[in-house]
Amino acid sequence: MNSDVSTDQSESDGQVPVSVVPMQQATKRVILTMGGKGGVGKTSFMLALAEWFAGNEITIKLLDLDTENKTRGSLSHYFGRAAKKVNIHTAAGLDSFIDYIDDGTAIILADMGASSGQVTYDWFDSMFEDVQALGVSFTAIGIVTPDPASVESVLSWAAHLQNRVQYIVVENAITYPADFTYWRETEQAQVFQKALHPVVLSMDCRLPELENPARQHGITLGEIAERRHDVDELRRASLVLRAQSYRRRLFQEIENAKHLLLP
Amino acid sequence: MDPRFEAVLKHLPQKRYRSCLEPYKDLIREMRKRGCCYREIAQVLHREFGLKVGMSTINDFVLSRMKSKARANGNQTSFSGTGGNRKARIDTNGQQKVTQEPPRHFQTPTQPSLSKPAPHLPFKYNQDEPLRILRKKGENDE
Repeated sequence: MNSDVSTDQSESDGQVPVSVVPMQQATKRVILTMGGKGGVGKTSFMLALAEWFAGNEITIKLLDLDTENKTRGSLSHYFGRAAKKVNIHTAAGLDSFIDYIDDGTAIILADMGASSGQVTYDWFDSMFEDVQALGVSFTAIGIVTPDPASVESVLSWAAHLQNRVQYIVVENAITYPADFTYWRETEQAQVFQKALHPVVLSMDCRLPELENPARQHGITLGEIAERRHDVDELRRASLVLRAQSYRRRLFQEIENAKHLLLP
Repeated sequence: MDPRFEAVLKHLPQKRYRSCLEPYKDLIREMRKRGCCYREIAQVLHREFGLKVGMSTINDFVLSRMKSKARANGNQTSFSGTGGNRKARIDTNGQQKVTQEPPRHFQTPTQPSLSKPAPHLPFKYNQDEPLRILRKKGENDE
């Protein structure tokens, strides 16, 4: 065949993950939750992450893409107008990433809602290469609990996103003791870990007497730890100390994944 | 057609769509031959010529050139001067039989694949299969 062009072998058959190349040139980062399963602690982790960035004086843009979750439990419930609500179930999908990046934001924290998978996959299929060319890299955060459905959800997202993103998986101990057999000891999860090398972090099981009122009133761990709120039931010394302890350990974990959180 | 329209059209110059990459086609072709990927081409165009262009634009341009080239080739059928395809077979009596297949005088040129090559997927997962817990060594061994 006499063709003046060859197929793009370098992009298709290399063993090196696609995302590795632009990482060196990436100047911006979008951090998004893998929003398949609801109630696993996506927003809880994103809140901690937002506070970690604030504590390190790193400016970020918060996007709340969890439009189904209109009131309590969504990012905007905690951060008010600081977290922009974006409806991704439109033709433009996740194009808001591009707009905020174009505005000069270096890091976007996007909390995806449950059932946002297909929109995200479609957007990545059509836009990823061009957005990547703008120097944007992506980190996908998956949350696993002892529930096998949470593991399946993370694997399902990873099967679609492949190596276009880097991965952080948070083991959220929603019970004590937590049994992560389906995440740690299943064949499919191990194949994922070997192929896409997620950084695995752990999140402590929290006392319900701290977690429930915090959710109810939209108060973050940092606010409880520093008593920056008006809710009496969360001002107890033991809860303040607990909050400080949870926050310290979570921040230590986040430090381990720092390279996947900064541009 | 309305003669007034015809009069207007008569004075309009014929314009062809021209890609902004057209002046760089030789460079792109040569870079592709040397194994450069679209990302590298986009970077060179930006750095050397100040042309900001996306990888998908280069991809579209390359594919459209492939298509037109293939179309040009496809119009000419090539003559394969072989005397047909002979296939030797052994019949039930153990004698070699040579069968003559109708000669393929006209070979349709192989069309280049216009679709993107299948991407390399480092992770495959079948959502319909349940998660399989791996047996620990020595566990349940007879």
